[in-house]
Amino acid sequence: MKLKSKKLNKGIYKTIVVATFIVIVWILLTMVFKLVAAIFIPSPVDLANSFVKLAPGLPSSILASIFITMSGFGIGIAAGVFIGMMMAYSKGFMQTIGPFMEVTRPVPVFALIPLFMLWFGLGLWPQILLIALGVSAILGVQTYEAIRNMPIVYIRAAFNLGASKQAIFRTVVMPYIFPHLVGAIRVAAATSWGLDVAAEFMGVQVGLGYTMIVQQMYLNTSGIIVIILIYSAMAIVLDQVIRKIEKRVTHWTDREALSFDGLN
Amino acid sequence: MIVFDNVSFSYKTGKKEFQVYKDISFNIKDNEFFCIIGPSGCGKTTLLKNVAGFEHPTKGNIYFDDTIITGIDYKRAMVFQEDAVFPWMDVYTNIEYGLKMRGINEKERKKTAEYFINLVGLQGFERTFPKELSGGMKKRVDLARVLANDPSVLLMDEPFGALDAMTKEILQEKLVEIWEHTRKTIFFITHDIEEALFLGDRIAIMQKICNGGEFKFFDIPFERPRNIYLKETEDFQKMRRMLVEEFKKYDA
Repeated sequence: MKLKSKKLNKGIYKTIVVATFIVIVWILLTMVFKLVAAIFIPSPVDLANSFVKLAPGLPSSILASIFITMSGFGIGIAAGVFIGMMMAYSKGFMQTIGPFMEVTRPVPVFALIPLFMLWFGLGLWPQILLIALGVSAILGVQTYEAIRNMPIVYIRAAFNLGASKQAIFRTVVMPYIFPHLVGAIRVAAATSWGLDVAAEFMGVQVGLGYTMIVQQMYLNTSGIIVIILIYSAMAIVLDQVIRKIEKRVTHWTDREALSFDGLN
Repeated sequence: MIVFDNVSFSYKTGKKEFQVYKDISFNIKDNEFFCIIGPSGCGKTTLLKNVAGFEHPTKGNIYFDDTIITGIDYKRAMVFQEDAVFPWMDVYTNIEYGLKMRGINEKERKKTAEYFINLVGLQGFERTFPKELSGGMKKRVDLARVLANDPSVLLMDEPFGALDAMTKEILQEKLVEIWEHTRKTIFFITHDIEEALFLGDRIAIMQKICNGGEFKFFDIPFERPRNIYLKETEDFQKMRRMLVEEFKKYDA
């Protein structure tokens, strides 16, 4: 343990050195030598000013974007896991929905944005639906594949102990596949933010993405960067939350113990 | 009673058909500890899977208490060769799983689970997760989980095959003790002659399994209750030698 924390400290030290170096170069370029125009790379002072200027409108935009993204993300995970499980549970469902899913899954969800706008207008729900669609496509495939990779002995043991098919899905399949979905959920989280930005670019009148497009119209680079930073912060927080939940739900696996230290 | 009535099993890989066993007929009596020994691989596990109902014979029927076996039933409980303990449940939850699935109330479940936890010697490990248990302890969990469900027959597929010699011996003694206590019918598969001799009432040597299957039965005369010192007696070693010679006959 001690060794590990020492290593970690060394890692942080390196990170701080690199970060400081980048900030110094940034200040030198934009404020001391003024080599780069503010429209390409604004100075730290410009950023601070933009932040102050945008601040009054930020809380409502941030809330709107968080609401849209999280709703879509949540609905998408639930729908994706459900569809994936149904495909494994019922042959009939698989035969009916499976081929349809195979054909539609590779279609980039981003390409559907204009169509969604036409069909459903510019409200919150089309946007949420769009994100849910993107997320469920990722989770559906991953869920189905994780179930197919299950060791048959668990299923047989459960059947043999008197469990019904439904009970097996609830008590054996669900807990078993969860650790296998963590990767997909993290990818889906990142995709959700992307879809949120894209949909707001396309014409939704609320949220951070919309605010960003307005900044672009005024050639306000520092405003754009401020919003990018906010998006990054939100994405990092969500990722951390997912990892916290992951730790609790996968405590029974050997994930924590896995290490390649000392191997060549 | 388990009755094999002219049972055959074959499977197809591509165009080639493999006969695992052919026209087998024999009985396993109630309360009998019956062992089959045979070399690893080649499908003696198939016989057990057929009784469990995971797979079905391609010809003939297997009867359990005069009814043809058509599916999986908790009354015919399998102890797998692989580790079948659910790693996402702690020891207690694993052991009460079958009872819970069959809708038995919590009070009853608790009583039964505790009894079997004590029986296999896992007191104090109720809230431990399988990743922290040794292979031998996991097998104990598996055994307790199956026994708690009160099956009529235990189907054991080389359950101790993956354990080290010491742990194996401890668990063999435990199993003998439990069996002498409960007298459940046990159908046990192993490739370890000594194990079969120590545990069973009757042994069948299964040979030529790849081209049909052929049985030779031997009664085991050793008195019960048995303990591990039985393995060191002259009679035991003589019988072991005799069975090894039987094997050689086929190999030659």
